[in-house]
Amino acid sequence: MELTISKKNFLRGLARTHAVADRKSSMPILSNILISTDGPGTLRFAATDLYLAVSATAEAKVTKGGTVAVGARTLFDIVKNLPEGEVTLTVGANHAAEIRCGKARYKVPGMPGEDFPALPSPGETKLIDLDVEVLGELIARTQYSMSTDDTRPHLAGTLFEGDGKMARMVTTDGHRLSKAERKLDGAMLNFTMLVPKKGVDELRRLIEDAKLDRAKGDDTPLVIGIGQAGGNAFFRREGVQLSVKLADEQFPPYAKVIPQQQEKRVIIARGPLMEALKRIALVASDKSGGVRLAVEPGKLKITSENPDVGEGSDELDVDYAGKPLTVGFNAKYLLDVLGALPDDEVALELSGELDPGVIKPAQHDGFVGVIMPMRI
Amino acid sequence: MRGILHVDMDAFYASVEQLDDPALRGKPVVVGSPSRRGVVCAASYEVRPFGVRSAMPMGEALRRAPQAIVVPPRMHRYAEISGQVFAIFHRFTPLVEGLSLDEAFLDVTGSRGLFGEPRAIAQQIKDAVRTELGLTCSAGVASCKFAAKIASDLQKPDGLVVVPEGIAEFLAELPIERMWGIGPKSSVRIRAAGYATIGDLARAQPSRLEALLGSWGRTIHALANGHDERDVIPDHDAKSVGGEVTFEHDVYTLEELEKPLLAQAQRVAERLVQTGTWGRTVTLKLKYGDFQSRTRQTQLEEPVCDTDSIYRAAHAQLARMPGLRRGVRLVGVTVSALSERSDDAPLLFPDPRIARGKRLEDVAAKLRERFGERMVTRAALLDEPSEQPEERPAGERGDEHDD
Repeated sequence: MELTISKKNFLRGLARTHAVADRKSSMPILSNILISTDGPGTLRFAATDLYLAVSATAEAKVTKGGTVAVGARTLFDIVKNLPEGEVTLTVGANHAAEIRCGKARYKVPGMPGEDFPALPSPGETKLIDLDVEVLGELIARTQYSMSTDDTRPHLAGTLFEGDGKMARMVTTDGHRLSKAERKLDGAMLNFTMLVPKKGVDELRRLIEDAKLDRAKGDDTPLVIGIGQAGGNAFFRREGVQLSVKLADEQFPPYAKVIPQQQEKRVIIARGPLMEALKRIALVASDKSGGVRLAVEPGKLKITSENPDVGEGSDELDVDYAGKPLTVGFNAKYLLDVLGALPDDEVALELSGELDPGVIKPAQHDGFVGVIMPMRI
Repeated sequence: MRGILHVDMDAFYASVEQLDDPALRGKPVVVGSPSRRGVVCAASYEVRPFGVRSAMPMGEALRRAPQAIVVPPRMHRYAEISGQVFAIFHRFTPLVEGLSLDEAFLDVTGSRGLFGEPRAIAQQIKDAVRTELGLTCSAGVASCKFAAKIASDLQKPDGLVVVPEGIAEFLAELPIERMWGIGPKSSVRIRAAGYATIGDLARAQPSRLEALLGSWGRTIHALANGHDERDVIPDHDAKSVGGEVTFEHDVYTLEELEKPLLAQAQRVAERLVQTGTWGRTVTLKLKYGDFQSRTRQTQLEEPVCDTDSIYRAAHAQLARMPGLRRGVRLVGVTVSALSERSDDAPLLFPDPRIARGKRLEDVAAKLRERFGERMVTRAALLDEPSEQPEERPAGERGDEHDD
């Protein structure tokens, strides 16, 4: 195997893949990046931890084709520190990779590329394009309420659905739930997948990477192809493909716990509400983080007390004309959902003091956040 | 200067059996499962001259002392007597930190005005235990936990040893095996490196001990020099409930770790249920053959107190541990972020397994109370010793100590 590649392309290929390599695995090959030539002008990079797999291609001048697996961390660090310019990569009979750039030269041990596990492939499945902005927004709105409890894998992920008209993401950790959806014109998406947390994190990286390209004046279309085959989800953009082993679990019946008709609707300016919550959370109990929200016509009062610290209260003018009600919530849960929304005004919908609270943007239905109350 | 007592009941389980059955008094008694595959939970002083020790396989114990009378353990009874012993401790100070059913640290620094000097308090406790319960115990008195713990062991049974102010000199001549946490395996390793007494360890370069024993080496060096600032932490302030077990032989596979882990989860669950406590954080601890320890923890969405939930959470952490190929000598599980659960924070999707697990624990606890400790256990644990003779909170390196 012999080729030359610009440092920039080499580094980009490695940067997109190396983080997925699994350094802790009992299969040593997984700590490697697989490098293979793909025709005379392309080099392919691939890494997997058997749950996630990322492959990326980069332009290169291939003199002699071949494939080799090299330690991901070492190779990334080496290439990152090379001087700018053309890099020559040569792999000899014993799989050792020689890297030359300017007068710098390295020789690092490798393993036969054939020993690297086969990466999942979508096969004949056609991937459907979804706008990167839409995908990024759905993730950004819902990440805060995803569970990190790895004993409940059916919650430790994002439910990603398409029903022909809407693309939707839902997450819940049992204490709160968020659902974000966007209408789609054109593409007829019909699918449902439970993407584990690690997969969502990697997908987010893929989106950031795509946005970065645009910022640099890259005029590639900003879409990500989405498909599902053989228990894996596939996300593909120009030159990069991510596959995620989907959780074989049943996401809970979320629609049932989203209150349909809440009696009381309070319209509040989001920024001032967050500030007031942060202020009063300072005197909430560490364990529960509980604050009391008391609504009455035109007014929202937030109070909290903690025998060890003291008590505090703050008031906001709000748009509300219904009956008074007091409900307890974990301030952090409120702040999380408010922080995930860009809207200036939000609606807080309440029913009774022991019923879940709902936070929505005041102007549209693209998002619902549900928070369980607490008795305080 | 602080006044710390370590009080340790003498051959506790065996002594309780001799107390309850006069026919056993003065006889070689071994408490443990009669099956030859079981282990010795306690050995009376009459049988110790034959070399019978707790934690020894029952088969070996009976080879050494064929005349020994084997009595199955009655944990419920030991727990009952233990409660009475601890009630006596609490007359002298509220600062009582139980290490297991039969031993505790007491901080009596603030009790001097009422009951006299620490030595006098230790004597009063010993007298009360003897006259009220008919049992003997051994006490160590020192200005720190570590030295008190060593001292209580020096004149067993029925001992009382006061460590003078120069702790390091007092410790210097003692063999390293007296140190809390140095068991047969570590002692071979440490002796091979040329350290025979605690004084040798005190004089050693901390960095050499660290190279030999990992981060534990620095701790050992400080302790050997009599530096131990650890406070006595009263049980009702407990921040965690844990259990751990050291293996006779290092284990190398996930499968071999599963049963001991389940056994520890069960013990932790029993204690949580007993105290009506729930916890949200589950920590798995492994100590490797090279003495390095690693912990991994997870925060659960719902507080738990049942064996299965604790086991599930701890087991999930195993995958995140560095490879088992270097051998594992100890596995432990700890539950923290404790609370008395209430319905103050309802959930959207409560985990039905947790409620089911709790019901199961309640039923099992009732059955144990009525029919004895061996009555209910998990089928997977039938071959495991139902109780370990040594039980200490996680974080204490007491796992290899043998009284």
